[in-house]
This record gives sequence, C-alpha cells and structure tokens, in this order.
Amino acid sequence: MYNNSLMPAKNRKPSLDTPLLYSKLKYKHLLSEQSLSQKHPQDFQFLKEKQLIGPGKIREHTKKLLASGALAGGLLLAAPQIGVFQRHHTDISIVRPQLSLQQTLVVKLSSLLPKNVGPLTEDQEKAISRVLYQLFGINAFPQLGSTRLNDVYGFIGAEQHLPRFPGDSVDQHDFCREAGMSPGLGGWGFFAPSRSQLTPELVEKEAYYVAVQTLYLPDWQKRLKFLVDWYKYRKVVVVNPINGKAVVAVVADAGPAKWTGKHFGGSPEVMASLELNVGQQKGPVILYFVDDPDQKVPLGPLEYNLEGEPAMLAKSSQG
Amino acid sequence: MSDIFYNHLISLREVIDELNTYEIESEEKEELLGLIDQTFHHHILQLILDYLPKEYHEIFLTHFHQAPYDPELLIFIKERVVIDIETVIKTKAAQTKKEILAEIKKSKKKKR
Repeated sequence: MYNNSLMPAKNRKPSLDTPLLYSKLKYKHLLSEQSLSQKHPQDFQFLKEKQLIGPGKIREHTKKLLASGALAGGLLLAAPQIGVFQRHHTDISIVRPQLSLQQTLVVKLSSLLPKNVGPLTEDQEKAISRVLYQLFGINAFPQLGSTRLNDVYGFIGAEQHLPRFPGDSVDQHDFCREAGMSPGLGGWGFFAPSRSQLTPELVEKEAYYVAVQTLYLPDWQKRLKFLVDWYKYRKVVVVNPINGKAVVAVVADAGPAKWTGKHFGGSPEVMASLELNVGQQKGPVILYFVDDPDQKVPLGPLEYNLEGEPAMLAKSSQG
Repeated sequence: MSDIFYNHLISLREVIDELNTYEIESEEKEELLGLIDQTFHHHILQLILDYLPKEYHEIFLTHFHQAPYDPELLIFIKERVVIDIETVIKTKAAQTKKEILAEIKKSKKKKR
C-alpha cells in the first residue's frame, strides 16, 4: 500500500471532506426514507419489521438468504449450486439453488404446517398462499370472498370416475380405468347432456375433479342457491405436503361423509398426480381455491420450470 | 452491492469510480456506499409501490423479502403496472445518481 502523504504531490489523489459528504448523504437517505414511510406507511412497516430498511440491511439480508439456500439444499441431500461470481465489486450474479419444485415445497410447508392434520391459523394460511404464489405463480387462498370450506388441511381419499354423459362407461375414459365408475352422478349431474356435447374442457374437468364437503358448510342451507352455483367447477389446487406434488382441479362432487375420517375426495387422475393412488389411497393434503377469473391456470399436475417462464406452468401429463 | 432484482437498471459504477478518485479510507467508502445504496433502494421501492396497484403490495413485498434477487419480481411488476416501469426506474436512478455525484464533487477539499 502506498502512503499518500509520501507520494509526490502530482500523484496524490485529491481529498474529500468525508464528514461533510457523510452528513449530506445521510440527510438524503433520511429524506428518502421519510418519503417512503409517509407515502406507504403499511409497506414501510413491513420492510422495517423484516429489517430491509437501514444502511446495508438489504445487502445483509440477501447474504443470509444465500446462506439459507445452501442449507436447505444440504438438508435435502440435493446438490446445491449456489455460486456468487464477483465480476466487479458491483456486479454479482447468483445461480439459485437447484432444488426441485417438490423439494422446495416440502421444505417450505414443513415449517408452516402443524404436526397433525387439522385447522390452520390465519398466519399459516396466508403463508401457504405466499408459498404457492412464489413457487407456482398462482393466486390460491383458503377463502374467496365470504366463501370458505370447513377444512383446508385434511385427508383426501380416492374417488371413482364420474359419468360424464348418459350412457358413459369406464371403457370410454382414457386413463385410470381400473378405478371404476361411480354408480351415482357427480354433485352437479352429468358434465354434458350427450356424448356429442362433451367438450375437451369437460373431459378435463371430470379427469381432474375433487369432492368437497359442501354439505357440512354452516351456511349451505342458508345460501344454497348461491353456493351451488359458486362451487360448481370451482378451481382448486391440491397439494401433498409429504412429497410436494400439486395438482389443479375443479369441484365436481360433494363428499366424503364425515364418518370416513376424510375431508376431500380426489378423482383417479388427481390421486395419481399426488402419488396417493397406492396403498390406502388416502393422505394429507392442502386444498385452496384458485383465484383465476381469466381462466389462465390449466387443470392438471402443477409443474414449474426454473429456467422457463416465471408464470405457473400446469399441464395435463397424466398417462 | 447486493444483487437485487432491479440492480441492472441502477448501476452505481460511476459513483464508485468517482469515489475512487479521492483519497478515502476503504471503511469510510463502504459506509458512504451503504448510505447511497439504501437511498437508491428507498427511491426505487417507492416508485414501484406508487405504480403497483395496492392489492399486489403484500405479495410483492413478501416475495421481495423472500428472494430480493428474483428476476420474476420485475416481471410480476411489469404485468401489473400501466407504465414502462423499467424506464421510470432508470430515469429515477439517473437523477439520483446525478445528485449524489454533485454532492461528492462539492465535498472535495479545497487546496490550501
């Protein structure tokens, strides 16, 4: 290191009045902070609580996140690839941990869900919505408007195929024929009045359907007409917190009965997507409504491509 | 600097280069840069929150807290604002940078 005072005068760097500059910059910093807090008080409070306000805070936070990303990768025995390549001292690029979507979901949910299947707190419910948005880009909530199910974290059991039109038989279904056909109709009757009127959209709805316990809703009788319409083909996301598998489906049937110990029913395709189509064909799931007014979220298993489009990618890949 | 999703829009290279032309302790420089960094951060966040509809604030801030480096954040904003947010951020950053550079220059010690 050169000692500036020993260098010839012409090579010396000019000096700064650092205290003066510091006070001016501090003043600017305070003004910007004040402006943010006055204009967006709630948001500011959130940032403050999360320690994202204050000199250097955001930098510290990012460093911590990177460290925790490495930890999560290690815990799952996946090969975490977190690389921080310093090209200049202002330019750092990050390769995010290469956890699979399912692994990430399992890690996140395990820290949010209670030990046993049962009711969730409001904070837990909100946190799960955030996780689902973060990973899949979908807006999913336990309650839409004034409407919610009695259970959002419960057991799902296997259902059979539903008759889609008069004269439908299991042989006419493309997949999971071994599950058989329900002797009764779905909660909203046939999906189409005849085979010729069965559209590909309706085929998908029957393939990815769930049954929910509308019959036990406290306001079911009081708001019957409204709720019957509201629940018909209502889009939901079902998540298996054990393996991180998730699927988008619609409500097309009512049930199961309380005495079964189950809270939801899943079509053969839904159960296969969740990998719950083996053994007892029953398991814990989270079931949230998908807020999708523009019908952009397709039915089927949820997939997410880290390198691709950030928006949720869901496709029917059932075979 | 931390890798934040809008970093590429607000390069502080000129500010760092300007500070490097002066005789200044590295700790002091770090401290000054910390203040400058956070000032930019306040300005940019305020801009985003000004334009982003209120109903998306919580989800944006939550995601920002969870992954401030995530490029999807910018896409999320772009899909929900009616203006060209990248240009607005760049303009605000350029203006802030100009003011800070002026302050640095004004703080140069006069030769006796």
